Amino acid sequence: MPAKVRFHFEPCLRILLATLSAFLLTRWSSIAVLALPWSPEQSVVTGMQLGFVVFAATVVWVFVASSLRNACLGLLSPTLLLIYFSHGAGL
Amino acid sequence: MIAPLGARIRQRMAQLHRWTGLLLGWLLFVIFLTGTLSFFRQELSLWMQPERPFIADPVPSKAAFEHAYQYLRQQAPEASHWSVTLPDARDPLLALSWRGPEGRGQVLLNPLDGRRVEARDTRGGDFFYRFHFQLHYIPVLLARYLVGIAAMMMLIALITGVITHKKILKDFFTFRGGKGQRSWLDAHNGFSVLALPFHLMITYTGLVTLMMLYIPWGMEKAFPEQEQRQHLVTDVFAFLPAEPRSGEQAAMLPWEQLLAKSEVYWQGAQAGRIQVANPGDRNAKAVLEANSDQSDILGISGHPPFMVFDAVSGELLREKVLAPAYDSYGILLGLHLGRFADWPGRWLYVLLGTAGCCMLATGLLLWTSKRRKKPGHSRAGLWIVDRLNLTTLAGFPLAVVAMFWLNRLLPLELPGRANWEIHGLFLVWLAMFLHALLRPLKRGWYEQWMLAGILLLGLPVLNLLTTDRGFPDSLLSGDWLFVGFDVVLVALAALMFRFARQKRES
Repeated sequence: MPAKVRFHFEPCLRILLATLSAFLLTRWSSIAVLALPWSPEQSVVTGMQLGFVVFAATVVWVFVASSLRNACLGLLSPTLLLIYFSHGAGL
Repeated sequence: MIAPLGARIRQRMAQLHRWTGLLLGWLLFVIFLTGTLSFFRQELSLWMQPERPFIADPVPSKAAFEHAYQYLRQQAPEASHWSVTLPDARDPLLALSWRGPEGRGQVLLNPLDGRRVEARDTRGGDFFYRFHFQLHYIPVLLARYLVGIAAMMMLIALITGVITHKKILKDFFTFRGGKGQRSWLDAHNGFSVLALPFHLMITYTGLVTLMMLYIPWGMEKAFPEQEQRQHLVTDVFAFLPAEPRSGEQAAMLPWEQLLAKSEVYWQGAQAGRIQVANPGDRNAKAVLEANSDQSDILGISGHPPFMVFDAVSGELLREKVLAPAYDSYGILLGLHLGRFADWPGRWLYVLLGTAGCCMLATGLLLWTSKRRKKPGHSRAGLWIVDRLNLTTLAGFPLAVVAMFWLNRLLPLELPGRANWEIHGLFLVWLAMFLHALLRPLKRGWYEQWMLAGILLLGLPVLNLLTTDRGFPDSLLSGDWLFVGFDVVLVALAALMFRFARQKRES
């Protein structure tokens, strides 16, 4: 009964991936905004306001992607970008 | 069969929508209901303290300021911090509070004569406001995280709900009544789509109100020191950090002069609150904050302008920092709180909030209605969800009404009276939970709706018997708040009886 097993297994992995990636992307994005050419106060407050959009969009993306593999691939580029910028900000 | 890609995406969206909705729907319903009530926070407080004198026209701030200053100088000269909220169109009394080494205190003054108003001990509308984002009986921080998680799930449920829809406009104009599951689905779609922009706005801005708690990482990286982070807060909030006293006495400038200065700066906008740190000391500082219900001058921001003065010399030390990111934060906060709204606007907020409650309620009912028909579905799961639906959707509103009864019935001298009103709410809610477990489902719904209706209908009578502000008196003196309260109670009672009759007939 491989079909039935996958039915339960796959959503669980998606939930796990969605929660973890949404948390990490939100966290990195809230730090990456410090690379913006504004005062740190303005960047920080901007990052907070955007963070919730990043979280919600990531979760929805993980469930929109046609497979888990595609979901991971889609997460790859924003992750690399955000990590690059959070280090680029000299942090 | 391999479904086309679009259909499979919709299926997964529907799954996510169902499970986020079911897991947090009950908590969200309670948050939405108390949040909707919070739009009437001041009005509920006024109704719950019928001893407050009815003052038709607000008193000018200058005279009120003088009374407040005299009272605090005599009663709390040693306090390190004073706060005075001026009368406005929604609350005609002066609210004073202070804190210091000798403890805290608060009092209401009649702005006409400066006399203390003795009103019953109650949390009033503030209870709903606090409960809305930090619940009760659990540690504040934990509760705020819980509410944050629920709000994020709500945002995701809204987005996935929209994606699930094929024909959102057509659904909006469709209602198939009296058809069980179909009718719940149509009702759910109606309430959701009707107020979708509001639901998205209120959920997102709700998260933004506590964003410093939920998304702290950028702030922690950029400002590792606590002192720097406090700077960020004092840029936008009228907040005076604690400072040591100099020990040297000094006379403070009359508050009227500060008031006159601020009103020139704010293009005529009125001050709503003054706070003083270290009053009477050489180091005394005062912060004046504009009242946020003057959208014609100040816009809708939830961060009204403020000015910090040296309270002795009157020198302006700093004022609210204007910057794009702060301003957008202020506007998002203002949209959530709705304090800028006039009466029609506030009622619109309440109606849309009610639509949100109905969206959550119909969504939860749809879940059970769908599964009741499926022969293979787990009976135990359905049984539990049914009982929790009853406890939350009928039991919680009923418990809120019971709290209003307790507000009128508990003896005035009862120690911890304000807390007992709140304990009462939760005890009644617990009783409704037990009732839901013990009674057959349909009887349970019928009885709780009936009881809610009876309590609502009885409240105007109770108010007439226990206070001198019953319906006839209020009508004659033009006290529209009390008149309006009674009218709304009767209308809600009629609605509850209608729900009850539907349960009996179905």
